[in-house]
Amino acid sequence: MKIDSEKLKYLSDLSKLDVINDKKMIEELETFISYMEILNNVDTEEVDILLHTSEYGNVLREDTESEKDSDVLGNSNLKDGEFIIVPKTV
Amino acid sequence: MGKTYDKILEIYKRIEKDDHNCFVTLCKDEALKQAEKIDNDIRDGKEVSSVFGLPFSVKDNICTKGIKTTCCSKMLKDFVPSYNATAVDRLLKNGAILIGKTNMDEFGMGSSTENSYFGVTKNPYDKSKVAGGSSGGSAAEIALGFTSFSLGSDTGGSVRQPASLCGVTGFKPTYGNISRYGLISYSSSFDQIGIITKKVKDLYDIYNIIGGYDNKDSTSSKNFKKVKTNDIKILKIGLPINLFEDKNLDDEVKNKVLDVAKTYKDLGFFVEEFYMENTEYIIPVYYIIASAEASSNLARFDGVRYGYCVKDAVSLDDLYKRNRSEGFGYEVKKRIMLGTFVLSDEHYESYYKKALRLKNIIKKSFNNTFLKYDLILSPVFPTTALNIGESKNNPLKTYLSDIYTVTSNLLGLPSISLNCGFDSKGMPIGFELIGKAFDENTVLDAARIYQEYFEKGDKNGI
Repeated sequence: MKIDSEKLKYLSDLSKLDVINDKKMIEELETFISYMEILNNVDTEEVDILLHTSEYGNVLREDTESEKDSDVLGNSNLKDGEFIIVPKTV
Repeated sequence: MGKTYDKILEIYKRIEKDDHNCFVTLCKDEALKQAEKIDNDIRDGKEVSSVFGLPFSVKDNICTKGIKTTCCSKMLKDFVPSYNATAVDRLLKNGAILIGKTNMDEFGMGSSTENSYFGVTKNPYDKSKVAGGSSGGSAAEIALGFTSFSLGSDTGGSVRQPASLCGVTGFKPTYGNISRYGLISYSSSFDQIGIITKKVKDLYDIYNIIGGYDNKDSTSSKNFKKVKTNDIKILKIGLPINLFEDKNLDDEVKNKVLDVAKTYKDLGFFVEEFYMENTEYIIPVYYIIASAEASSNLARFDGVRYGYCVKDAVSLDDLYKRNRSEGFGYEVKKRIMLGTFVLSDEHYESYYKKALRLKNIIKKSFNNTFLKYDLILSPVFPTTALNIGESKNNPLKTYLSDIYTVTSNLLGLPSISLNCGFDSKGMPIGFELIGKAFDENTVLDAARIYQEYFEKGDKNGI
């Protein structure tokens, strides 16, 4: 699988990262993606996907207030009182 | 001041003089306050738990209330959680004393601690070598004898591998047996909190305290069973001989681990070689799924509610991109990009879903293996600790080195690594035992029996 600059920019945009024309990144991604192609040697048409090795159901509980707003917002660098401010979007 | 207080003070004196870079944050004030409380409780006859008054450390991707939890990333360098991880909470409530947060590869991505924003942790046996990773700070500090135990996290070997390279013991239980609540996610279906100690016998009580169902973690298991030390019994151990023929496996490591097999035979265990199927697919399957989950989990780090944030962004997109590009290190970005690739519309079926189908095939062959054996014995890592900087030259080889440890994560199995000797340069060599899901007791008993026998026979040992 070839990763060119255009593909890298596409992946970078999807990832919300600014990785453009990074030769080392291109080379390392290409090497590993090519290596992963070994999986094509196996016919998996009849095999189901396996997400988890154990069975899980939904876990439901009552909503309770365990933390104060000030604690939750305490780590934001963009806050103004009880609000978070981001650049204008419209 | 009381005995515990003095002991804790002494630990800090030693840590403050040390230059292995095991800790990234120390919490001396909180620890001394807890020590004072412990001393008062002892005076009042309130000593209730087996971890009461024991000093411990916590890897820096496990949340600690009011104490910085950075994942050793610039992204979270100032992040202070408003709650404790369940495992930490249970220890503190039982009177254990948190000494500090340990160094790691950024977000758990790496096997050398070289990807830490705060610099590499040096190996206690040779400072020019790495301590392993990603829980390198935890393993090194235990080897140096600062605290009694450390909590790490293990997504592909991150507890067992550094423990092995530092000559200590690393235990990863079955997926779901220790709550992940408060463990900052890298790959949610593989991540598991583990414990590092010097001695296997010390793991039982700690595991019994931190393990068990937690309704704050939707993948927490209700099958958790407490463990206890059992007498020796006849167990069947399988030796996956094709993994010992890997060209990257160092001869000294190979021979020491084969010696372990002989020791188990001497102890009366049944040991048999077998061919492990599908091993060539384990690493690609593991890295496809882990990267996919990482790209999804790390999407939350946008710098808005917490984390690294630039001040002069011109648009929301600019804000996200700059925060993430400046906040994440190279390896993290690479795995996010890789995960984005395998999850992208064009490649989802041929990479991500393909890997999930292969995972099913690997699980079936392991199920067959465990019909014949109670445990699988293997090396932990192909070599002893590498020189600092050495693994950067060949990233693919670094990924391939995880072959012995990632299967336990892929299939959620309990496993342990412990020391079995040293190479000709004096660097520790470890071996690994993998058990059946939810059979922690067998894994711990077999490891403990070996360790006790090994220590009796080899005074130059651990």
